[in-house]
Amino acid sequence: MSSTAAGKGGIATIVVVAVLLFFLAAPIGALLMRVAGDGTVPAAHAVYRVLRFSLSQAIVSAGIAIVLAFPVAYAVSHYRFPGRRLIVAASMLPFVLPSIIVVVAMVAFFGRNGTVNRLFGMEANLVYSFAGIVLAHVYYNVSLAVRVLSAAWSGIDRRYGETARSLGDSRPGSFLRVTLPLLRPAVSTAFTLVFLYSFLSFGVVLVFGGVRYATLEVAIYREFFIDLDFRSAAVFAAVQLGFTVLFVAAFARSIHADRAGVARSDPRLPRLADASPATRLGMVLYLLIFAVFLGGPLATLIGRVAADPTVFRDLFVPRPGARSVEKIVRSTVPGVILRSVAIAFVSGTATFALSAWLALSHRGKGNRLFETTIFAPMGVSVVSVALGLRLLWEGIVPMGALVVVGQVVVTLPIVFRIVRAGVEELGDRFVQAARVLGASRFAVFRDVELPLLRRTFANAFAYAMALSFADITMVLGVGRGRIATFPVAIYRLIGFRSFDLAVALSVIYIGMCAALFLLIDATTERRSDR
Amino acid sequence: MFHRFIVTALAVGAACFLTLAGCANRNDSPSDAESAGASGNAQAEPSEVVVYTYDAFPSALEDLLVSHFGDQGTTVIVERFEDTGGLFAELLLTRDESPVDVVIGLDTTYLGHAIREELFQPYTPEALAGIPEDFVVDPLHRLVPFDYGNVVLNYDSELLPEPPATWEELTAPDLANSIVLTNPATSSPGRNFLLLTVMLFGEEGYLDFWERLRPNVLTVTAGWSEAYGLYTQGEAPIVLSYETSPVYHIAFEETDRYRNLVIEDAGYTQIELAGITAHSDNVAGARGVIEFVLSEQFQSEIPLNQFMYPVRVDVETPEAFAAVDRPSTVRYMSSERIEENFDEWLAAWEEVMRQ
Repeated sequence: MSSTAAGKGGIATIVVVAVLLFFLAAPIGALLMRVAGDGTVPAAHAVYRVLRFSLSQAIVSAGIAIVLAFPVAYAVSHYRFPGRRLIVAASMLPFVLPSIIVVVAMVAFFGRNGTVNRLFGMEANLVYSFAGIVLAHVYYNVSLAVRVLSAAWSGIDRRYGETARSLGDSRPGSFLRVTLPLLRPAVSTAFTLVFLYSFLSFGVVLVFGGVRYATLEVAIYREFFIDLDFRSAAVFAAVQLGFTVLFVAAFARSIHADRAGVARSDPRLPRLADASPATRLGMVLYLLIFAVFLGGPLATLIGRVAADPTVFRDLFVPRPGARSVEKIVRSTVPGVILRSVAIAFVSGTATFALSAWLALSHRGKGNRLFETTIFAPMGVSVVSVALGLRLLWEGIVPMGALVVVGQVVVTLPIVFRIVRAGVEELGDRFVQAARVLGASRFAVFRDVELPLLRRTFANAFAYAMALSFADITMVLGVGRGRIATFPVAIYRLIGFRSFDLAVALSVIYIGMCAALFLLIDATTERRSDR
Repeated sequence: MFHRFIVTALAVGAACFLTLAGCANRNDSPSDAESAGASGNAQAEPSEVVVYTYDAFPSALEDLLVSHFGDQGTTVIVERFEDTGGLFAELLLTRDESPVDVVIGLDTTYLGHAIREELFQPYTPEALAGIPEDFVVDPLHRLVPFDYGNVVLNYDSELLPEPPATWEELTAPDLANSIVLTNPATSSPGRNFLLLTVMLFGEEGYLDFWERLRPNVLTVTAGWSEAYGLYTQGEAPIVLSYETSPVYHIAFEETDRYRNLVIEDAGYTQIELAGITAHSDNVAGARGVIEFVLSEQFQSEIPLNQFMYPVRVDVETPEAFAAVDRPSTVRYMSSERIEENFDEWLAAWEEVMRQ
């Protein structure tokens, strides 16, 4: 191992992390300077109540997501069946949807007047409660759990289980004693990730939480923007950041253990159609229910506008007498699309490039401090960063650029994790070999690493773009309403009672995200199979 | 192949970045100012007035402002913030550093705080003489009213053919899980509805009322948009909104399915205010904007754009407004009393609703 190369990588990493922290800490600092001394300190029991809810709903959400994900992960990692790739690719969708769309879709499907209740002739209260918040979080994150579990499961040599059974262990016994322990790191990874995302949740809780339930992020928002009690907001923000850093430090290994790649479609896998009738029936039934759970809410939205497709025309050509979309959104729909794509492309490219560089230069150097630092942005209140960025640099840095900077800072942890997992899995033996044979570092990257990591990179790039696509906090917080992207336009339409138009625009958005994921999946899958 | 894609991506990315930067810059400094000034309106000096408002401020009203003053060589720049809370937080955070001259759209909720912080300067527009005294909530005219509407319940006549007529009936068990409200901690209508119950049932009685109402409340959302969205999706037949909400459905959707529910003639009058900031460096221009907001021309555009009533009595409301019920009196609480008690009332209310 060349010590100079490692040293250079180390310094570069330190520089990048320092710059990131600067973009994060400076806005927060600017904000704190402005508000120092304003407001009160919240009562300890109020902080405790919010913290307790944040923790408990996150634990329950993560637990349920993992239990629901297990059978799907099993099916995906053990069998080939039609629609398998679609399930894997489409299951990424909910994760990148703006929360306003998820809320609308959940209400349309699980609401009191929703599809499920109407189908069974019930009036069950599924969404307006603790259960509703958990339901939404499971909906958001279950695909993530499937991805993590199935990738690990397909990596487990099934001969272990077969050996155990040949030695007389029962099927459930071999699962409990052999497979489960081998899966434990993946379970812990999936649990930690779903827990973190649910712990930091905002939009869903804001709508379904009512008076009773608020996460820390919601409490920060309330104190800051509603009560204008800046000191209380700072206390909640500090608690949130503190706990996030604590979790990340404690579970750093789990977080990075995810191997990111989805279980490949391996032609050696048995077809589900050839499995025993009982297995086949159970699997098919479960997969169907799972598909309905994930697809139902979105399908309800799509069905709603499909019943009256003229609403799509109304998006572009105003109906006489009706309020034009351009007036409500303050931009044309093509304008919204182009602007969203442009911002997502720039922001996605930057986030991806940074993540890739950090991951490559930091390969093989497990370091808890580094891992905790790079994840810190997750725990920082996004609304605070947005406001701080604007206070600090508005007028100096162009608005569009400022939005991009904000998005890069807050999405980097998620994208970095994906890139890093692929890079670590590949290891550096190829690089070492090529270097020994005299290739330059750049040539190694171009000719060895890029082709091998194409799938990981494409995946990460798609995520980075989609996360920027879904962002509303930075766009509104920094953009002062001048930059209208998809979520902003959808929110404005809903605010103006143009519900069907909002749904139609959401459907276009969902279509674009799905196309992005399927495109990436299709191109990379075919090439890597070659 | 893939590395070429990355290189292309980076190049296109850089191009987009520059374009974005360009867009934002163009928006930041409209060049109309110079051209309009140069076109030579002899008396009017070219000037710039910066207006802050909330995101939902109708673009038709913005266009009216901009074009009216553009003709006179004054550039009006409208800056929007997410909601009234975000707007007010911005005013507090930036104080005299911000370029804002006029704020349009604070409601009475923020009056006490705004006055305590000395954010606005007094100005008495000529048109104020034609506005009922009930609406003039700040006697020193730092913030003047420009529109108003009553916060009342609304109902879906298809889901609920026979709506409750009294507060007693509203709390009856047959309406279990039927009402969507907005949170007094986060939304103006929610706050005003809570104040209304304090006014109607007294400080001793309002919690009892809420205790009885609680089983009928399906959910309490953070903002009006979510609540109204749930209501129009058929999730609940009753929602907290404005007396004028049905007008939108009558005027633009030609349906009278959605109606308002003025129970026992009671509503809370929400008044929207405008004012000139204490540190404005274009007071003359700012005064012009306030005068125009209260002019007949601007006021008559309010009903069908804002779905609120104009404060001028000489401006008629369109036909669609005739169809909606109205409480017969203006009713609101003094900002001193609110300032003094609201936090306590809210905390007690939250205790009740959490059970």
